[in-house]
Amino acid sequence: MSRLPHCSPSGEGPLAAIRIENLRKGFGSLEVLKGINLDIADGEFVCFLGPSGCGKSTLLRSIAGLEELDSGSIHLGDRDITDLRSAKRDIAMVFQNYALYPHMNVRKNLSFGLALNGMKRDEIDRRVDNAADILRISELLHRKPRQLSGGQRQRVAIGRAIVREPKLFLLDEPLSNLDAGLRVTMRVELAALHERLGVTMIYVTHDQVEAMTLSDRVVVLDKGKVSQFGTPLELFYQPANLFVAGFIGSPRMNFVTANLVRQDRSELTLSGGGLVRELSLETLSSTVVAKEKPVTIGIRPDKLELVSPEEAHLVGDVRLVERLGTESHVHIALENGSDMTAVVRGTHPVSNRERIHLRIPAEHCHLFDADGKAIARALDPETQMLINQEKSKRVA
Amino acid sequence: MDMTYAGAEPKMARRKRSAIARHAAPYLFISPWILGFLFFTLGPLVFSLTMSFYDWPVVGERTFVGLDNYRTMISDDPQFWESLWITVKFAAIYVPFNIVMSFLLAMMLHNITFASGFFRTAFYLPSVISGVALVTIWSWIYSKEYGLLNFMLSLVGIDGPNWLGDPNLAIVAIIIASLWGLGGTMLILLTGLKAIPKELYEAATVSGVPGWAQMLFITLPMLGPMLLFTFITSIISAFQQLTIALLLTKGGPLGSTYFFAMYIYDNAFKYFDMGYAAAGSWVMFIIVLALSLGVMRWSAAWVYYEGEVRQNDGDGHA
Repeated sequence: MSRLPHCSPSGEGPLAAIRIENLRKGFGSLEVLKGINLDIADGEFVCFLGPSGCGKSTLLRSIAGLEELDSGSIHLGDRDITDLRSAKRDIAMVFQNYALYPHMNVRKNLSFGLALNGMKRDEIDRRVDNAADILRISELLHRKPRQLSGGQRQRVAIGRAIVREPKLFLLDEPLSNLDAGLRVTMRVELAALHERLGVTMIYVTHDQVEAMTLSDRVVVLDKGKVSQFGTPLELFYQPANLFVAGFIGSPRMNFVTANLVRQDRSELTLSGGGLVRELSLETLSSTVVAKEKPVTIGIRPDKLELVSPEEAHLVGDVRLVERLGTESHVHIALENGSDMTAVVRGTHPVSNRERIHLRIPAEHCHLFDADGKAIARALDPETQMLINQEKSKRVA
Repeated sequence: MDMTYAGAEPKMARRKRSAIARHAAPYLFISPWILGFLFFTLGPLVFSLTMSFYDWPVVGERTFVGLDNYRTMISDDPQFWESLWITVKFAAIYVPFNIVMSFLLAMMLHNITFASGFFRTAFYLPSVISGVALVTIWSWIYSKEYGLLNFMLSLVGIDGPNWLGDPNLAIVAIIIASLWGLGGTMLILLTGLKAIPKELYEAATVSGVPGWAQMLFITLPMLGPMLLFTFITSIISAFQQLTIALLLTKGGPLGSTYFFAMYIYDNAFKYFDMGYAAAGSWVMFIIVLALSLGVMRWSAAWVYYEGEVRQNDGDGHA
């Protein structure tokens, strides 16, 4: 089998595109989802990414029909599935703790739902054997879940989704119970599975590496709202706001507040706050920045440069050096009291309590207004080309 | 070279003493329980077994009779068979009712969100009321003239029967009174229900498994060990039925509620034939043991244990 039947290109429009409009959901007085709007294309692999409590699992469960909505609508293809029962939505879900029936063997786990929906024995066997073949669990079909390793259980849980031949796969943190090594293996297998099945997949995770490596696009959620919806590289290089900028990337982006000294067309000059020297940088020509409000400069730790005192924009003392081999993470306390992290090559001779001088390369800066929204800046052509490639691949 | 030297002997003796103390300490700590077990469980058990081989009047000479007590009971005592039959009838109705009603109540309490604590307490409370108080309440409920049950029946135009005076109804009355204490069983099953991960039901719901099938193929198998436990304890308590029958009907009317436990009780404390009563107790023990072992053996087909790996499950752990 190469692709699931639902996903065969028919040319009759999006079979498994998801459209979510103004979705709201609360538990008592706590509003968890605050008006979610999303358009997910047919066959896309989309991750819901965010910190604990941001509403990503609730959003997934709402799509699955396991949560009753307060308002809003969900469309799968041309069908409004908002009020449909879970079983009628043509979806399959993989749960965080696998949710395998412990008293049934693997074959029974895979076939249980199908048998109770009146499917013929031959067809059930075909689907189960097919899924087992895809996931390489054929030799485990007679075993009970307790006789399987974590990775094998995960495969069975995915197999239970595959046998349904759904239009949409929903995966709720499926790798979070696995150890680090197995997680990497399963991540690769999941990506291959998506490629092979060609079905729309929505994947919930709080692990940005999973989201960045698996997804066509990532939905970053913050406090029940979509903070940004874009390709992994877009999120990294063009974060829409301070939250996304701080959440995506490890070690996290450094932030320095500063004041606008002057704006000469597209060139901004910043000083004060955490800066010891003026910093000039280009924005898009149309950008207007309010002079009376502070701005926030964002800079990735690996882009900070250790320089001589006369070239430095920032000065601080080294608090801790974490040597990881190929690189070292240098934690710095700036003179104005804020903290910062710089990534330097592994053998760089820097030590604790040392005074350190840092330069912010203007071309690698991100800029955010007083409300935390990104101020648009041009990317270097190479990065822009990569992002465009990623987008065009998704469209294709 | 002679390795002994002055002071070696006492040192070795001290070491030996301390080793004995080290080994004895745990037994000393559990000695109160061991003493209780020896005097109040194992002692009476062995004593009753010995008694069952004697003609053992309370007053007078005891005589060794071998298996005569057992032989007489089985071949020459119709009351033995009658009381056993009544007990089996009672158990056959009481045990399934006890489990099914406890299960339904547990399901209800598991699913309600409103005042669940109140209902849990309300249903459990009767099971901690002492047998005598329970019988007092039920004798008032069953009273022909002034009983609550007949009063309620009269409200819908039914002339209530004499619950405790009718040989056909008296056992029913005792079954109902016994079921009043199902709170304990209900609580065990409720705990079991709460331990079933809700994701199993969610996975089934997404897969289109209907509610009845979820109960049949998920809830019941997952409750297997609890159901087995309550099944066996219900059988044991059914065979031990004495208090309610003794106080409510005294075995009547016409011996219709003359349970096996009452038969043993009468032989011991009415006819003062301790040897015969002891033999009756051992017969009861053997019957209950055989039933329990039978149920345990049968349960292998339907009870699932998370930690257990059976031969036909597969070829070992991954």
